Amino acid sequence: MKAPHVEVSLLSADRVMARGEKSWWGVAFKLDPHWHIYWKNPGDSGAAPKFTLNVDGGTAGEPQWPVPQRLPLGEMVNFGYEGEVIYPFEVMAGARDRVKVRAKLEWLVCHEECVPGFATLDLEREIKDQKISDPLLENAFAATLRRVPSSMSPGRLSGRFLSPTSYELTFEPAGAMDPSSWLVFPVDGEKFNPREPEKKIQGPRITWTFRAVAAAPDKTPYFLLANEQAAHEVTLTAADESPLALLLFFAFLGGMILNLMPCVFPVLSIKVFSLMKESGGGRAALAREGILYTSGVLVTFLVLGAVFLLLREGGEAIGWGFQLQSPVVVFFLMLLFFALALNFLGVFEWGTALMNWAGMRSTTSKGASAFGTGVLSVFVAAPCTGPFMGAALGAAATLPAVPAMSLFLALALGLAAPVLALCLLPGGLKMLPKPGAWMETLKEFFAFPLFATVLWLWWVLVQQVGAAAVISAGGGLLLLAWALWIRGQGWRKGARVLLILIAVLGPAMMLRPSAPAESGAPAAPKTWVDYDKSALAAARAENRAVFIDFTAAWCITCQWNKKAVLQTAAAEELFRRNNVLLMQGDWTRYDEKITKALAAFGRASVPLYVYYPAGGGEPRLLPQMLTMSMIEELFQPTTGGQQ
Amino acid sequence: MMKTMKFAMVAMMALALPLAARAEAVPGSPAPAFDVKDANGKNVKLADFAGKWVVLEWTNKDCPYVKKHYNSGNMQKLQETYRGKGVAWLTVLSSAKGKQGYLDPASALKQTKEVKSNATAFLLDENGAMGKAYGAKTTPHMYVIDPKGVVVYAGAIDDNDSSDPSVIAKSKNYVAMALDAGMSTPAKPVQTATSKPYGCAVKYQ
Repeated sequence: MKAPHVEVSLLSADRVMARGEKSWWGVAFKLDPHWHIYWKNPGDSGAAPKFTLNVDGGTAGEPQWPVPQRLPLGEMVNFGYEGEVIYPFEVMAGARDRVKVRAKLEWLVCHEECVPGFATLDLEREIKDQKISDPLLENAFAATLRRVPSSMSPGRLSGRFLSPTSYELTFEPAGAMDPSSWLVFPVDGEKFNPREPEKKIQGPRITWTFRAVAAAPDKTPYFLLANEQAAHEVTLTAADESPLALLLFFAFLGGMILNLMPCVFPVLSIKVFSLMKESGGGRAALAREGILYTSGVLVTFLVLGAVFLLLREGGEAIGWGFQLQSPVVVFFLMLLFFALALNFLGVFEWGTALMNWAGMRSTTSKGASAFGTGVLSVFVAAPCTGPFMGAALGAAATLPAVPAMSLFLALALGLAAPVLALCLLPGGLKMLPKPGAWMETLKEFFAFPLFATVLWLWWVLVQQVGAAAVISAGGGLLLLAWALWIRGQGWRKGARVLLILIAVLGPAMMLRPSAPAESGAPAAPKTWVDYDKSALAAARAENRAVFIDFTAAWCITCQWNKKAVLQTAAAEELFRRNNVLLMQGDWTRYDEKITKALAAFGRASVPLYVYYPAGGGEPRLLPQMLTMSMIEELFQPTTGGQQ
Repeated sequence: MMKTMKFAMVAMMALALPLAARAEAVPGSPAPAFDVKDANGKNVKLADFAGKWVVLEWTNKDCPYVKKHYNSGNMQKLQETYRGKGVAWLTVLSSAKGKQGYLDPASALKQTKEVKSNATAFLLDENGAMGKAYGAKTTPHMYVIDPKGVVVYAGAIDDNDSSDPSVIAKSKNYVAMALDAGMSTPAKPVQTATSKPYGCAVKYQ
């Protein structure tokens, strides 16, 4: 249809539609030279076209808005299209033989002056068993659909108001893409000025500063991000914009809950044990113990936080628990726990400063021991992420150094808080039982959680460096036990030689890398395929539901969820029945792809559970602690994917 | 917590904006002063209306969205209703000479008669100084200023950016809502203080 300065038509990509299937239709505008029509946010002036679709014999989806151009107009900016544009929409063919679409249109085209237009267009298509696509329109639709944004996040994003009138958006594209190729368009025209934001590129990151109105009501999505190849409409999650105070609170709470997670338990048992002995020393001694423990936790977090930030500055993508991605660290932790357990069983007594720090009460340096327990708590806490921590750690990964560090410290304070409270509160002492002969028995009993921890760390090592770790790590344990025995015989020099031998040989053995993802890896039964971006995209393209389990061998929370929920017969049956593609992203070793994938969800830690409902739609993130009912709920019609 | 933060931000904005170099007319901030000749050749200043409610209406007779509200009689009715309640209604034309909608004083007078405008005055902002001071972007872009000279509303005339006049009856008129709330006794807060203005771009130089 010809209208002033524009030719309007209703198109269908298929000449004949297939029964019960979707196909793309569209409203096409062919504009006179220099005339333009608008995007859904028209910018400083103008108006978006309006579409009212009536479908007989099928159903239609919402019209889509391809990536627009910035059209300057003096000091103002509009978003729109010149030349030709198709606003595509999906039509689902019904059961009958024909589908008829009536599009009532209203538009505005401008070039200096503006001319509104109205039209009602009809188009009919036959429905058969097999579709016949229109070869003449194939290219036009393909080109248009490439410019229609997806709702997946293309990388790591965070945004905040710098002042009531300026907003800073930071974007780090996934997959180490060049950030300079990206353009940004605000979808929310009330909050953000359409003028090209100031941009700054720093390594893999790009920062845009918009003129904006903080007081304008919140609307999502905020932005369209696009480059030559891709277009994404992004909604910043609450975590991206959570005020720091809230994140700090989450971090503190997360730290406290961490005490209840299985990782910290063995160390905590040591701590409580030494506190019981200490309780004889009165309140002052107990308070001192608590404060030293807290400083141990704080200092370790400070150091880890500093390392984290330094690596980040250097462009490394890392996350929580990164210290356990190093087999050497895991190896020494394993030795330490083994020695502790032997000590509990009375195989040897502490005597040298070397072992004092590990947390047992010793005659030489009590202070160091309390401090050491603090250090240890942090190291073993790494494999666990509890509730609330995900958002805080994810934010820490993107925030500038000072707020990021304060998040680490809030986490530290939370972790130390329960023990500190026990030591400082007046009633705390009374809560501890009286020391007595039973303590020896309890001490011996505590050796067994420690052995369990050793076993687990051993398993982690095997995941990391392969089957060779069975013998190399086991050899380390053997040498250690031998050294301790020799020392018990009074030959200190011999013990020292053996310990040095372990310290030198052990890491060398651990550093030998093995080929990734060996057949023996027990982590991925065949129902779960390895995480792969293109496989994910393919599944999404055919509207298949996808569940992704981001996990690591050293992540106890992850293992718990696997055994208790995800890999149970009931859950797998449920997934199978709903034709869900099951993916597993293994982060046991450092893996850039997985780190980036996590970052795209604003996370820097595992576990992370992502569910993409069938038939498209926003991905859903599940809580860190799963229950069977959460999985069942995914497939209930009201809350599940079928929309 | 979000509420407190928003309040703090609005408060900060109210304090910070008058100091900013590029002050635009944002709700909560004092309205920029102006001194512009009207179609009768008389100088019109903001200060002339101290103690009165003032409405500013940006116009361009050839813009379809202006036509929407004039051809339907909607704009004239608003002008009549609120002038009857003591409001000063100033229609502002910021089209530069040679640009769409530009009018010299004589044709401006003719135009106001033709459309039966009930505005207090028709201001000719040929060089766009007043429009830019207010940050007027579209026609019609509307501002409501309270008797203390503070902007209480800036944005679109209503919530429907269609150029079809038949939607007016169903639209929420933000200008009327702001005036009704502000002029009631006791005064109520203006619920929608900003909106995205719609319409044609102001045809500045």
